[in-house]
Amino acid sequence: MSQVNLLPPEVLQSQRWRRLTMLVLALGGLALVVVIGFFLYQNNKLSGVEDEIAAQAATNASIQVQIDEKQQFADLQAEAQSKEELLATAYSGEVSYSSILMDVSRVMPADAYLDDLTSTITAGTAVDAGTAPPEIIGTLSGTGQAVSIDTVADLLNRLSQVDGWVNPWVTALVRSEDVNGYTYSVGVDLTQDVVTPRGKEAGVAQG
Amino acid sequence: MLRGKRGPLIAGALVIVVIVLAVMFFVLPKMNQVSEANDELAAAQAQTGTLESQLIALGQAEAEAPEAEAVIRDVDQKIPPTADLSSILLLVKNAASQSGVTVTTLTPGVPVLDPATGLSTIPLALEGTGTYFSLAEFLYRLETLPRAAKVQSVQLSPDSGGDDAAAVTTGTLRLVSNVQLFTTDASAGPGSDPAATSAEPGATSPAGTGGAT
Repeated sequence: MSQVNLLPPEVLQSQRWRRLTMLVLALGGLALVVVIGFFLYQNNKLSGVEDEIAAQAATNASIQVQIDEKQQFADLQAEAQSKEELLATAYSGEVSYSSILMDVSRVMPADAYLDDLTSTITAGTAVDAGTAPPEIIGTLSGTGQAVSIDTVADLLNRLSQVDGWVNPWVTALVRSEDVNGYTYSVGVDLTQDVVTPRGKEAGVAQG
Repeated sequence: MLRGKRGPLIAGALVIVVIVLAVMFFVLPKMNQVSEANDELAAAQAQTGTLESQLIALGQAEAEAPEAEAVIRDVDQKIPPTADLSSILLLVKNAASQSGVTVTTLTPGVPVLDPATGLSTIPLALEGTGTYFSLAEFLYRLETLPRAAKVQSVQLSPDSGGDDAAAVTTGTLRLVSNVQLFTTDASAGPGSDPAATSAEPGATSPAGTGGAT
């Protein structure tokens, strides 16, 4: 038995359009649901992140309180460092004259002696600004008596062997019948090497 | 309105408009908020790291506090906040007597303030007599005084006492030396503010002190 569609074609076409419209609306609704879902997901995520921020802020505040309590120790350390720098400044360029006197006693030949001894430190500046190199910080000079010229030459050799003593020289060497020998004037330049370790600390700190 | 062949087109357009509006006015701002919150969280976490490092450093400073206090005490003793001339005189006198040196002259000068460091230098010219090695010991004791002292010059000559022959036979020498001592008092010396005053390093010298009183 055959079937006969009696529905007019216009009505059938209209039903098709209506179904398509409903399909589009349904897809649109589905897409809207997805958008709303994504919105809710983001909202939830934001809430979680804000909780984490609050927790982190609380942690930071707690650490900050501990830092504030211990700030005094940082201040104390800064003060100690400042004091150390002040002390280094005070001792800057210090020379140990007791060591220099001991060195003088060691280098003096047995057949010579000193009548007088003079040493001056020029506070880090060159002895003679025109000619002396800047590492020379002072001079050590003296006059004395020696048995022979050989003795004075030996003294000059010995002077040059002490660390920090450079440019040994004799300004006068005179035969003296009174002492049955020679009177002499000697001197050396003192370099940075004679500065004590604590005297060098200021320069190290500044460097 | 949605009937006919234009119905799907209008519905599609309507759906797109609604979705676009929803995305623009709800989803994108929310995503933006999440992004900002994430940035804020990252900043807070970074700050935590910084604060923890700071706390560790402070913990170390706390552990080293006794050493720092000892350093401060030591430096305050070496460079006191006032000139305290009486202690200088006693220290030099004790150093001399322990070395077998007779101090004949002590001439403290007017303190000179170095505004750059905030340190006042007290020059002290001294003369004494003793044997060569007692003078060397005296200089050593000066170098190791409880107060910071820096010997700037030394001059040794026979202590003739007017008789050269006597000096040679006794071996007594005369020492003339210039020594520097220090204080943090920016205004020390005669006519100055009696209390301890300090100068900020780099500041100019206090008015009326001439930088030296």
